[in-house]
Amino acid sequence: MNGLGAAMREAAEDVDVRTGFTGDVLRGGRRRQTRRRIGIALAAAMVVGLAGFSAGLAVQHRADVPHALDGRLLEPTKGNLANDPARLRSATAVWQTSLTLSWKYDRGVTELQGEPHVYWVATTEAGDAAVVMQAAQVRNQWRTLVGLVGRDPADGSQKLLGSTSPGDPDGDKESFQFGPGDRTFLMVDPRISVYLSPSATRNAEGVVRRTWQEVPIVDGVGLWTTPEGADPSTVRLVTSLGPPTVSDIPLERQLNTYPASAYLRDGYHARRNGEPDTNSRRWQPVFPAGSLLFGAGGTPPPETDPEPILRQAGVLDIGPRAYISSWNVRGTTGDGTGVLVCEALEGSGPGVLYAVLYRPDGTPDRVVRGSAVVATSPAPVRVHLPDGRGWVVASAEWATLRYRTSPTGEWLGAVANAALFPDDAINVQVSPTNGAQAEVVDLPR
Amino acid sequence: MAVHAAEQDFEEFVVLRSQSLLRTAYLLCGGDRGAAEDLLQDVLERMFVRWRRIKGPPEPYARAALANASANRWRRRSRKPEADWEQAGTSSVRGHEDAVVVQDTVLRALAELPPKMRTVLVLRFFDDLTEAQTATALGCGRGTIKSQTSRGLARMRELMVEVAR
Repeated sequence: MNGLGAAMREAAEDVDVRTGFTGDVLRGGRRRQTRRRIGIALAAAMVVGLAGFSAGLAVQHRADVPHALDGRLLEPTKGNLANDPARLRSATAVWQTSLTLSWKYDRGVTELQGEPHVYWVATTEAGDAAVVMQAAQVRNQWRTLVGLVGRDPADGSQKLLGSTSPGDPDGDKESFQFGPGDRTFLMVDPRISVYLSPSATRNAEGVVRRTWQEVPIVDGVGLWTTPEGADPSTVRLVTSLGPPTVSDIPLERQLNTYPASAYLRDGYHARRNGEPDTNSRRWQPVFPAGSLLFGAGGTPPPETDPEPILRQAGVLDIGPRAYISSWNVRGTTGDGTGVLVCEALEGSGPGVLYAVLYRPDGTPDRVVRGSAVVATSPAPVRVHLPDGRGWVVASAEWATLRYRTSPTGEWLGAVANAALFPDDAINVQVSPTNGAQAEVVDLPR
Repeated sequence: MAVHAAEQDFEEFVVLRSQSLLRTAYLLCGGDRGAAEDLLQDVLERMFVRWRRIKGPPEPYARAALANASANRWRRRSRKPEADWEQAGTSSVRGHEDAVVVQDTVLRALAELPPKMRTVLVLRFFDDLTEAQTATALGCGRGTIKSQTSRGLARMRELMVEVAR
């Protein structure tokens, strides 16, 4: 027994079935059974009829299709090309040839059920496209696989440009990104309003702001194309009952997409739209244990995870993922303020420095957004703390750091690797301990 | 004859287990009594059709079906995810005022959770399923259940404080 379980039991203990419930269930069950039998008979009759002039299509429809897990599999095809049998056949054929053994293995698909169903096929700004669905056993559950078939701009041929992976966390989002420059977004009607934000802005404190527009759902899908020249990687899609008003939108409501070009190149391992490439663009210092101390050290503790704090402060955009550095620089200022500096990498932009300031009791107080990290600089960490608390500086390699307060002033300090320099410092001298030439960097204001 | 016997078995199952299943459905629907009855009736009608093909005890099957139907219900059937705050309360004739307030707070907080997160909490803490059983019922990995449980509990705490204000 636990507190929440007990509270739930208390809350539900007065709930009881209404009179006549059992009879209603039996009547409803019998109705369904009759409808199902009629449906199977009709399907069998259609199969026999079709077989006469469609010998090339191997029909393997099994009578024991799992219960209507997804009514969409039974709906007529939507879209302005729905009555074009050649389009339907080609979309189905592309789907079937794309679901290779490795495709199925990656996604935990052990059995496909029945025939694929073309849910929608139509002309779009990015060429003809089709949404194909099929019931499948995915990790021992009946699920609906959904894929987008359309033209690959690289060679003009029809390919599977994206697919769901409903056995994976967040893998059931039926939203796709395709066409020239991966600029066109398609969402299968989630039966709730879809909102789109083309890009993010930040206020003076670095807090992310987005404006949202509702995407109309027509014929069972929503379509939106990023204007030419705009960056599709900043587009975000969410489901919402009304216009989203908060930046912290739960993952469940975010419709992440995979750019078709990435899907075609990397398959199951493709990065989602807006997901940063952590292999190439972050600073990868050689700190021991990933943490440098300045001053007397102290709060916050080295195992602190700054991501929830940055997210709470609203400085991280919504999206598939933000990379937060495993390294940090931390210490305590003269007035007892704890400081933790880290790097956050989002989207296609450079990694940005953030300083989390802590109250003397160890609770987070505020977040300061610094400048972009210049990984090639001898001192990549240079963050100006507010209210005259000074500068947090850290070097890329083992080095002695000094500062000066005027262009011709004396070099002061001489601290190893990480330092808190006074607010009026203007330059930092970085002298590697291996005897290499010292370098001077500015402190940006 | 066999068909008749199967129907009798099914009827007995409905009579004996509906109350317990309805309570699970009630929590899965965030305290929306009408939605819970509809959800349970829908699941049981589907089970009627499949009754002879269900392997193993039917109750875990029913609970898994309820959980999945509930998690998908918001998407499939309605633009309105759950009951309004006003509809989420329990019967006002239940007696002790404090108990009613706690029940109401729990239901309101549950109603505010995303459907999948709510489903995980109900299966774990109301139906007492293990992480592995919950993962099997929902067709996802144990890691997902772990993280949904942890985030769900944290969110419930926040919501219950907010709701209680």
